[in-house]
Amino acid sequence: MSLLPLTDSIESTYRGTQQWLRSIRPTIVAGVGGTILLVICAMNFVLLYWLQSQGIATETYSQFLATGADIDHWLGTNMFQHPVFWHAFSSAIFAGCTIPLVGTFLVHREQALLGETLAHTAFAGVAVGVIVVGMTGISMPLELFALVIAIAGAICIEWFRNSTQSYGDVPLAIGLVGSFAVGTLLITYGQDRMPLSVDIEGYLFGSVSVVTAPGARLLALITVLVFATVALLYKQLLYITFDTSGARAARLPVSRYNTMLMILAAIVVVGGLQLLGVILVAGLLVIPAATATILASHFKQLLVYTVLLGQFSVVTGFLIAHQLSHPSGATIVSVAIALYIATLTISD
Amino acid sequence: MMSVRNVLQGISLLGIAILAALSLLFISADWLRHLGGPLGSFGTDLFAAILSGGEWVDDTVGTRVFQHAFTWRSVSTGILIGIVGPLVGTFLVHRQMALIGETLAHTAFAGVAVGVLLAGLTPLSGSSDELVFIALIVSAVAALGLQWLTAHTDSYGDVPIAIVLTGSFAVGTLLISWGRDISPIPIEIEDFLFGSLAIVTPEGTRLVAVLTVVVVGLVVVNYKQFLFITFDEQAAQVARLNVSGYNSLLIVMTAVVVVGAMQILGVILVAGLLVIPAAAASQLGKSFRETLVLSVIFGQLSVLLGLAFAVSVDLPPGGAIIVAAIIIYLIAITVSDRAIGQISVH
Repeated sequence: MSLLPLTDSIESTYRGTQQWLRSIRPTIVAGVGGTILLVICAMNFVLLYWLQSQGIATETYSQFLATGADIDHWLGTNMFQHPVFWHAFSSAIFAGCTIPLVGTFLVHREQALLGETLAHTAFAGVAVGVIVVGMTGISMPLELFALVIAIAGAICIEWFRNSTQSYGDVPLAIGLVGSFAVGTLLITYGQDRMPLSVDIEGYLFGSVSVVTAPGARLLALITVLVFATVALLYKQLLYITFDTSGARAARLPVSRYNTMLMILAAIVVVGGLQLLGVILVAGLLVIPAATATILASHFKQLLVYTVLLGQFSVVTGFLIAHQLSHPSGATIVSVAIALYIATLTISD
Repeated sequence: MMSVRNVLQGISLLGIAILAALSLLFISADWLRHLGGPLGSFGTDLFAAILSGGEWVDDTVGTRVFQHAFTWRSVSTGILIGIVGPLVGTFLVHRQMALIGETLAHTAFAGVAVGVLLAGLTPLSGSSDELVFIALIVSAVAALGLQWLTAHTDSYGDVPIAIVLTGSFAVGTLLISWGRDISPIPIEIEDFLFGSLAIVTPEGTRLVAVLTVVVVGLVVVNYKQFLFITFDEQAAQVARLNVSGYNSLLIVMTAVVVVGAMQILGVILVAGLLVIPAAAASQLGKSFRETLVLSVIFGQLSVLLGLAFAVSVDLPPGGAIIVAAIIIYLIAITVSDRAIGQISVH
């Protein structure tokens, strides 16, 4: 079972890359520490915000923001003291570690474009939500509709893949285009007939300013869920990713794990929708994993590098978008691609 | 049974050929009338004749659409892309490159963004036909770049596609977000994303006419070679066919078709016109040639039904065309007793 296919010709450049990687080991350790610290900070904020909205631990919450004000004072910035900034920033941190983590499995199962399709399905879900909320007047978060429709889409695609012998990319392409077409029609239909204020461009391009407190809370839950699932089922996921027929022979319920992986993908895609937008959320799913694949020599290393690269792209891209008021999805994916190109050049 | 099938296909093809000929006639008249001289006056007469023919149709059917040059432009653009889209798409689907059209459309979006920026920095006017032209160049270059990337990285085939797709869209978004401040033109990004009949200009129509003639001509001339590299690339290589040359040709043709069709269908949906009719046709086709014919028929049907629906209820044409194509696809799956994706080659 060879994890990363390597031909002899690139064996030597591979060794060179490994040497270079050993030399920057302290940086990697620092990166892992930094990521953990960021996730703890973000979790803390989301928890404290939720508690103080319930009337508990208000003092600790204001202490948190006071520390933020201190940091702002040292750095000469004006960000860390504002709850609005922390909603968006903690969402970014959560998205930066969970989306690439799930993406690693997808990339190595040759399903890199699944995320793209699921994101467009989620867009159709947002459109359905717009219509339902507009017609019934019940206020429900649009993300909920997106989540339900995206999961349904994931199950449909998995069924289609199993029960037909079609080339893998045709169902993906039809699902992608079809759900976006339906979404477009629904939204245009709704815009003329219902009084709504949906920021469609925000959903398409991603925006720092649309992230809300419930959105951040949703992402915190998703993060816990994804990390727990991957930690508990690490061996099974590894097995079905790299040796599906072996896993089947070992009587593993492969199709159940497949479906679970697809559902996880749908969940993280919906989680990243606000920040990255429909079209670019798949980039965060695929690009860090592709970059890490060039560097890593075994799967655990691959996962660590993926999360590090993803986190770095998200934090850097987020700060650039925040400072220059660009769409955040675009800056995050641009940073991720810059890292990919740099890695390709170094490893050549 | 066979003969009924053949006759039906023949009639449909004849209908499509007549529609295409009418479209090309209208577009040439529209073009000629700006030339001046004897050709120009001929063009003006022809143009007026076609519009009065449209008026007659309007009177007979009781509509108020065919007398406007605007309708003729968008409908003829639709008819032409309804032919070339599925034609190129059939080769792509059978080469397992169904998502390449999606990627090239996103690079075309980056091209539009470059055009917006150039309009801010240079004396270019930034009219929508200039933007389409710049998109054409950027998309063709990206097509070749994508082919290079696929050949030169060790990754699975879909990773470069995903990276180029999201990457070019990210760059396009950044350029537009930046260009909005320095560019004088108020660009309707949603028109390019969702497709709109309003951005079909005479120049855009002309571009589609030229690319239709060129692409159909190339496919007819190189039919055997394309068939060969589609179904047995290795044998084609052994037979000393210039495989990478034909691959490049196919992918650049795709880029050109995508940019032409993008005006009506929008960036995200344009790939659907390439893939869905081809997928439906491969359910029913008895040979590759028949699959090709069916995909063009299905594509044309989707475009006409979609346009009619979109115009009558005032919805975006891209979404309507794709929904029509998907309905045809679902019918094809139900009718066919064949496992999805199987196909015989003659």
